[in-house]
Amino acid sequence: MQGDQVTDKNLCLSMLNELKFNATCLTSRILECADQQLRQDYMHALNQTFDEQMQVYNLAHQQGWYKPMQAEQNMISQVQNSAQKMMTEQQQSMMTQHHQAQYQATQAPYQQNIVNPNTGIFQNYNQPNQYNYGGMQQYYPR
Amino acid sequence: MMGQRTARELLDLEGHLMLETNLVGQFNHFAQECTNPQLQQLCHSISRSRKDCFQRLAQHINVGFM
Repeated sequence: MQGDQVTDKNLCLSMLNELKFNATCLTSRILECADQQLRQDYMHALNQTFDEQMQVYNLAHQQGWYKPMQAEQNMISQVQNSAQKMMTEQQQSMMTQHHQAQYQATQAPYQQNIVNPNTGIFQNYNQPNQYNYGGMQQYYPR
Repeated sequence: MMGQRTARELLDLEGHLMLETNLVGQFNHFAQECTNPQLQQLCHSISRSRKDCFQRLAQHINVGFM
């Protein structure tokens, strides 16, 4: 009986691996696809794979065949600290962009009348509007 | 259904249809081998679902339902 359980466990874990591999392949197909309808059909197949993988995972978990290792508290703290540093770096990067934009706005204003590459509209970048840089005040109120 | 196809799309399609075919066969085999009824049912269900995905994708190279 024990042998049977091991076989079922192995089969179930193999199924999980097969479905994960299929999901990876489908993702790659989608990213290389030019035809919209084909892309949609690959995406449908990928969603099916996600559903199936979850069903197999739930069964494996319920039967005690698959027990992912739980993260320890010190590991969680380490990742939290790391994420906090990343957030600070992102904010510094945003502030640098803000200072550069402010500096450019004060230099040679006659050069600011250019065509917006996103909209094709000729506009004055010194005048804030919905398309151009409007300053960071709204995000970082003083 | 088949219009203009890039070479990459065609190669990918062939490769993926082969993969789906293997999955159908494997899941049918797993269904025969396992003893747990829930797992057996799941194997059958996934096998059918992979076959549907195969048929849907096969239409893109004008291969119809059998």
